[in-house]
Amino acid sequence: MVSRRIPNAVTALAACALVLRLGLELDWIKGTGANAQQMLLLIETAAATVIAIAARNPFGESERAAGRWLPYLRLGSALAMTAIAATLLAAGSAAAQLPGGEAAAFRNMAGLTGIGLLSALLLGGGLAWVGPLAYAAVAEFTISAGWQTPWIWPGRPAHDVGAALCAGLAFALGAALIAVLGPRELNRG
Amino acid sequence: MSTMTLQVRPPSVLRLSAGRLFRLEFRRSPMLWMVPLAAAVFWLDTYRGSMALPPFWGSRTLYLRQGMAFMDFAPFVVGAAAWAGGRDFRNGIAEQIAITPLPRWAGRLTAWLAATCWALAAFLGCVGTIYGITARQGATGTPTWWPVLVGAVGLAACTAVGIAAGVLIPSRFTAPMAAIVATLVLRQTLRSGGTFTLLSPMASPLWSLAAPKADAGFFFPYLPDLPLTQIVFLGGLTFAALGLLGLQPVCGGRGIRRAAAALTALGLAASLTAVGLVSGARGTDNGVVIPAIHNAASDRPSVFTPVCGNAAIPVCLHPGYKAYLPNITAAFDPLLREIAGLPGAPVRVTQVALRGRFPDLRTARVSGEPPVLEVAFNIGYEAIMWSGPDLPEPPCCSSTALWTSPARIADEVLPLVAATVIDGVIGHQTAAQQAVSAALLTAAGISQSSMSTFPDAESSPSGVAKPDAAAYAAGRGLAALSATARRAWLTAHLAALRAGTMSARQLP
Repeated sequence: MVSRRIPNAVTALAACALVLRLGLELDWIKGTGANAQQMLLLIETAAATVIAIAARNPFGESERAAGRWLPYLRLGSALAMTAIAATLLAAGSAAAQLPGGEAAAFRNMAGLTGIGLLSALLLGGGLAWVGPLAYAAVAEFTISAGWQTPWIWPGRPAHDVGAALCAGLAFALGAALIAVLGPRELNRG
Repeated sequence: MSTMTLQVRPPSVLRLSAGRLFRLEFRRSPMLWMVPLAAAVFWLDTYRGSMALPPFWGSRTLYLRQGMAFMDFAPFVVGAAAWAGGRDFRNGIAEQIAITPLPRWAGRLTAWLAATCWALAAFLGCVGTIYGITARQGATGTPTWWPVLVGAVGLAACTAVGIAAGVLIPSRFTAPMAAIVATLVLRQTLRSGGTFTLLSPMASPLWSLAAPKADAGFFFPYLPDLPLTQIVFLGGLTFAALGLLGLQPVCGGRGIRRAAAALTALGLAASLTAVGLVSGARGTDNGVVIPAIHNAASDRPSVFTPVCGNAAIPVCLHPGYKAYLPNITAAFDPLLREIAGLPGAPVRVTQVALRGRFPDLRTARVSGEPPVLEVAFNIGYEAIMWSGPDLPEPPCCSSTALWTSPARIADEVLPLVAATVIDGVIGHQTAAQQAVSAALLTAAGISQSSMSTFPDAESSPSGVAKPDAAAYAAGRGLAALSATARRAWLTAHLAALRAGTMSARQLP
């Protein structure tokens, strides 16, 4: 856990929760309009990138040879981090109204985490942030433009089944693949 | 090794390796891999939005002037730069690199330069595409290069800040956090209407003190005050961040670190100067005026010969909007035929520049002697300008759909213009005046319901004289007359009507 910088990641997630609280207190996130959704989306993206980057391990191949419990460690780590992120963000938004509600915020973060884990699989743990950031940039636009597709779940209401399925699928796929295959190891850049 | 070789003075490390190092950094810069992502977001956001607007330079550069193109690139540029800045730490080679002859400051500046070159090449390529296509479509108005310059300097600042973050906060979380914090800050400046947020390359159409307008460059030249101040601020930020990269002991000898400190101080001084300059900024119809650097010559209106349409009263537009003249003339014709030649009626309809912080779709006022109807049309607007809670009523449709249809112009634009003109000719104080106004509006094809969206002249300074239901009932007879009979009746009774000596019962 320490080799995956889990303590640092939890600190970063706590910082995300703090920024969320600050945003709510300063009315950066107010109402249900596009601006509020976009600000919340950025904080959810930050949390998702932290979880995805924490999938990286510094040992590479030697860790793979360590034993057959490694997939469980990766899966457990991803699930635990997601749970911690959800708890911290819920604490950060306690007694406040998030645009779309807490269920939508959790759905968005879980989906973004899935994209982050898939990015870790393709680009390596260190660059796992690229996927969620690109997705957030596209989602920000679609929220402004009012596009309606379940694949861009941050723009959909909390009760939207299609959006929940898409986000859930992204998370399940990301968590499963990262557990089995692990993040890509890149020895450059 | 020959004696000859030994006698040659060895070139400095910097001179020897600068080009090679740059080539290496340029080839390996992570910014290269961010270019497709940033370009894709640019296409989705800025390009599609800009191309949906009519081919006027003022419209096509609207998104650029709002900073949207910059915003499409900024998160990726900051993230990639921070990733490049944290490379030594990430690869565990920071100490090995520190003992090489090349000062670390030079190495970091080279990494910044390579990343900036990629970012600027991509940004200028994307923006150049919009400018190129717009020019090829024969756009009217004047192209402005200020938003391109501001965006380019802003991206250089993003790269410098990103690399500084990556170097000074070495962590695997730095790159995404830097990207997201930068986006949060930019987004927050976008939704703030304060004076100091004018320094941000972002300008919100809803909250900015000087929201970009669609007719920029048509009636007045672009004001360079704000872009210049933004460039000083962002340039200062770039220098300060680059200076910070050379302050650590590993960066070189005392001389190098002093130079880095001087650069930081210079950058901060430039940025603070820009903050001081913008503190006195004031928004005008033509843009932001910063008194300390304002050139009064920029306030002179552009010289142009208007193009006029053949209607009962000539309708004259800026030549840049010539394509819309037949539609506007056709839509206005029923009104102009009713009032042409009457005492007090305007002799000409002239287009003027948009006024106000959030310009309405259309404004009209009668002024001068002989009277001239001055109209301002928001042609080439962006739909989001009407999405704010305190802004004027949204129009029916997109700018292109509205201004290319005489019927839609008659529905959306004509009622307010007609109310203003008829009020100028007839007045609205007495019941008879209101009844005749109602009759003329009806004859021009303007229903009572189409006037309902405007505030009343009595309740709002921006309101219009709106006849009430009783006036419409009283004016029904006059409206039902033939155009010739109505004209004859008006010519005979207008003086009494304007003097207020006529009652509604005397109407036909």
